[in-house]
Formats: sequence, C-alpha cells, structure tokens
Amino acid sequence: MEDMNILEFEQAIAELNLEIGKLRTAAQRERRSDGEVQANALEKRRDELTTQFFARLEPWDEVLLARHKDRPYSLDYIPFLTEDFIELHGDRLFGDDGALVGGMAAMSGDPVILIGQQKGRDLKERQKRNFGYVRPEGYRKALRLMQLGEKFRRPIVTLVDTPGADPNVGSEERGISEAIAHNLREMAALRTPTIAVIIGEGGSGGALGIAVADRVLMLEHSIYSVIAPEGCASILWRDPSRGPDAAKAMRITAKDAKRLGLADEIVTEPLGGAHHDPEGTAAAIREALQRHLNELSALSPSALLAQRFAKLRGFGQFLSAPFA
Amino acid sequence: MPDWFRRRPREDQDGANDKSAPAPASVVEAVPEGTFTKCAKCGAILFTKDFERDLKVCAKCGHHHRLTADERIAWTVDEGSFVEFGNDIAALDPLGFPEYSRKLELGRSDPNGRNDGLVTGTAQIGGNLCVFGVVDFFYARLAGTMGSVFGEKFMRAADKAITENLPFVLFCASGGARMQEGLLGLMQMAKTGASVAQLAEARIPYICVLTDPTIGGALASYASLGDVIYAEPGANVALAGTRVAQQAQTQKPPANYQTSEFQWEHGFIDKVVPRKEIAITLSRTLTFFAGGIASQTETKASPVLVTPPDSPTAAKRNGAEGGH
Repeated sequence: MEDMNILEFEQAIAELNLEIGKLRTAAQRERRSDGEVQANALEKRRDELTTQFFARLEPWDEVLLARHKDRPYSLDYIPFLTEDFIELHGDRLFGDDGALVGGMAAMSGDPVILIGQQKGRDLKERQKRNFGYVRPEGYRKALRLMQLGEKFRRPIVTLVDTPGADPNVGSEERGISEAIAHNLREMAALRTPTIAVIIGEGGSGGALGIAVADRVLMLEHSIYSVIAPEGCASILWRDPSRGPDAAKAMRITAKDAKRLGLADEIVTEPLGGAHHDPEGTAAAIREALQRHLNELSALSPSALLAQRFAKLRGFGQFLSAPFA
Repeated sequence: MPDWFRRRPREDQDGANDKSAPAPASVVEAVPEGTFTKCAKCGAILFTKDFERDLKVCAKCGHHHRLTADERIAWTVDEGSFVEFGNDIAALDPLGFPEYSRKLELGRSDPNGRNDGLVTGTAQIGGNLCVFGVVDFFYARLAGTMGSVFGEKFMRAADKAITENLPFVLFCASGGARMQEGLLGLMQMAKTGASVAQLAEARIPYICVLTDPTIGGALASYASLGDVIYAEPGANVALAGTRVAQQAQTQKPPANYQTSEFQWEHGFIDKVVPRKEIAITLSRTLTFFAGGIASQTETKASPVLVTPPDSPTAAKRNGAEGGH
C-alpha cells in the first residue's frame, strides 16, 4: 500500500469489495454465520485502510483525484447547489463555449449567477466540452454573466475545473489571452460579491480567468497550480513523467493554497473523495457558500471593493528593506 | 573553439529562434573579439558597431534582437532622464523550489543591484514625463517571469503613476507566471490585473509595448490590458509557448502564427512599430494623452485606490469612487 497511487489503491479496494460480496453471497446461500463475520471484518479493515491511505496522500494523488474520471463536474453539482437553474448561452460576440456553463439560479431563494467550467464524461460529451479547455468565448460569456450579476446586484459563484485555457489556433486567433486578461481586470472591480470554488483542476491562467474573487474556496482534493505538473517537469527536468515530483515542488494542494493565504477555506470531501458522494459534497459546498455570501452581502459595494483590492494587492511574498 | 563572435546572450535558450549556422571560422581568424555579431535569425555577419547603431536590428533580415533593460532605456527615453526606483524589496524562495535559490543568487549579484527582471522608474520620452517600466528577459535567467517581486514592483509603479498623475509606459518581455513561486506566481496575474483596474479607475494612460517574447500569463494579464498596445516586429506573442502549441494543434497554424503580426492581424495589437520608430511613436502617444479634458478636470475627482491596505482610511477611500 505504501507505494500505491490513489488509482491503484481504488483498484485494490474494488477487488476487496468484490471479495466481501462473494463472502456474503456464499454465507447467505450456505446459511453460515462465520462467512458473515469474515465479511464484516474485511469491511472494517477496508475502511481502516482507506482512512490510513487518505491521511497520507501524496500531492500526485491529489492530482489524480482532481482529474478522476468519476469526479463530479460543475453540472453534477449545480442541481444540488441551487434551485431553478436556467442556463444562458453565448458570449454575444462569436459563439457559445461548451467548456463553460453559466446562468441564473436561486440558492435557498436568493438569486445568484452561477458559472462553471465543465468537462465531459464520454467521448461525445468531452468533445462538446473541449475536454474542459476553455476558449475565448467561454471567458467572454463568463464576463457577460458576471456583469449581468453586477448590474442587478446578484452575487456571483464560479466553479473552477479546467486543465487550462484552450491553446489551439482558433483560440489564439480570437484572443484567448486578451479574454483572460480582460476578465482579471473586470473581476477585480465587480461591484457585487464573488466567490470562486475550485472543485477539481485549477489549471493556471485558465482557472484564474474566472477565479478572481472575494473568497476562494477549495474542495479538499482539488488542486490549483501555475502550470500542469507534467509541463513543469518537462521544463525543469526535460521529463514530463516526473509530474509527481513537480506536483510536490509546486505546492498545488488545497492545504498548500490555504497555507499560502491564497485559498480562504477548504471544503471537506467524503472519505475516498467527492465521487463517493456527490450530493454530500454539494451540501458541504452549499453550506460554505451560504456562510460566505451572508458575510459578503452585509458589506456595502464600496467596502466590498476595498476589501477585495486589499486582498489582490497583497498577493505575493517578498522581503522589504532594510534587509537584515 | 575560441569565441570569435560575440553572440547575443542566450538568445536561443527557448529553442524557438535559433536557426544559426556554425560560424565560418576561416574568414575571421585575425579579427579581435566582438568586432562581428551574427544575426540570431538569418545568420548574417554584421559589424557590431553597425549592429548597435541599428539598435540591434539585423540590417539584412530585420530581426529585432532581444535587448537588456539598460539598452532599452538608453535607446528609448531621453538621455539621462531615467530615475530608477523599486529595488527596495527582495525576492524570497517561498516554496524552496528546486534550483530557484541558485537563480535568486544570480540575481543578487546583478551589477546594477536590481531585484527583478522588471525595471521601474520615471523617465521622459520626447520631453513627456512618465512612469517607465521595462522587463529584462535575461535577468538571472528567469525569462522575465512574474514572481512576487515583479507583481509588487508593477503595482508600485502603477501607484506612482496614479499618485503623480503620470502615464505608465511598459515594455513587456516575459515567459509568463513564475513557476518557481507556484500559485504565488500565478496570482501575480490577478495582482497586475487589479492594478490595471486601478489605473483605469484613475484614468491614467497605460501603454504596453510587447517585445520578444511576451507569452503565457504575461500576455493573459498586464500585457493585454494597455489602453494602447504596440509591439515590435516579429516578436513571439502568444498564450501557449511554441512547444505546447505544436503539441496541441488540431489545425495547421498560419506562417506568422504567434507573432506580433499575427496578433495585429486579429485585432489585438494597435500597431507593430519598428524599434527605431518606437521613441517617436511613444512621444506622440504621450503627447496625445497629456493635457486634454480628462486629466484637467476628472482625475482629482476620481480618488485613487492606492491607499495602503493597512491604512485606516483605506476602506473609506477605496470605496469613494463613482459608478462605472
């Protein structure tokens, strides 16, 4: 178990579950109680192992969890986070980006603008969502919706889950960099409360393009990084397979972000990760969102902005003169 | 092999531009070192004296070679007008990142006592006083990347522009966010973006000149946010680095892909300006912004957002601006 990664561990647990199932069936068929006792013991052992494993996850495990194929995506959470979600489409300039969804919704009766980056589960859906790589249209749609929220003083919640901004020709042609930069400037000055939740992969500028906010929350097993670990490894060591080392060096976990003062709160996931209980995870996110929204809504727009600018201006660690 | 040619330092370090042939040794055996310079792009052999007179633009192919900050200052602003500030802070290695402390060590032995690739000061261009910034791509082999010191210096330069009501001119050159500072590096995009929002709020002209290379997080933040954006011919201007872009392509990119000209063609750069015309172009631009209705009557009515966050008046002043 020591040198397993999370996916190998899950595989081992799945085999164990199969074993437990077999024991149970056999015990029932043969009406024997010792099989049942054995099964219970194995289950207990399984839960212990899981707790132990999750107590000492490596940064690379967090990467694998954040990218897990079964991990809930934005659209999986939205029905549990809000009621009456109406998805709005298009950037009113060029097109509609499937990798970024957004719209109007109500959270316990209070209207909010909800925006999320969206990956796909099967091949067709993945293509529609561009594997979660957001195009310029996505960032511009997001900004349009944020400004809609600002105009009518609705708070804005964004769900961040992208490997990064789309690097293809079409996106360069339509100004992917400008789209992100524009969002950074505008989000800094939005006169309405904003909360970003990193739910999976916080992939560099592609994530930040919808994540400049009054509060940044991170799911326990989400990651947030300046560059993908594989990309970092190929720059540092000319070897993308050293992603696990890069993941460690870059401090990309939720705990790291919290320690660096760049995430305000970590939202706990169920044991084994969000995919073991999407609804429970959504409930935890919702609880945190409402708590922060209550705090932020109590501020006047100018106090809110002052607080946000103070926060953004404070990003960074350096020494000030006189140097010891 | 002796070093007959004084080549541009590390011009080829990103592997993107170096098409140079080996030096024809026989021709130049008796020539003193540094007499000739070889064009990093077309390989033409140029008299160094001519090459420097041409501001390091190849007389044969027009390639604009990368400049150090001092060369840029000498060849852009009015002689003797540059007054540097911003070296009163120093970089940290907040993550203990591999190799980073060695690079910072390199930076600490900088002959000019500079603390970052971003050099900031005040200067006059054609008699127009401005806050002037230039990124030195060569500084400490850090490729002009954005770390905490970069973000702080950018912000302080912008603050000075606001408090002294001066336009802000910035020559960009950057590999993007500084990987070695992890998420703190990424957050410099948010910080500079917020800083530009404050420049805009105070109606301070912000003029960017994109030079080779301006890529990644730099283009996706401060470098795309100028009121006016100029670029040097042939500069690499893109979101994705060349290697990333090649891997990601699903369609064949055009010949001038990811250059200044490509970005200009698609409407993201106002004008591609040859190096020898940049000083006069900037001078005219600054003259346009000098005086005028806005700076006479509006600036003071629009309180700036630069009060330090810990100041008791911060909240009040930051919130006192008018609507959009």
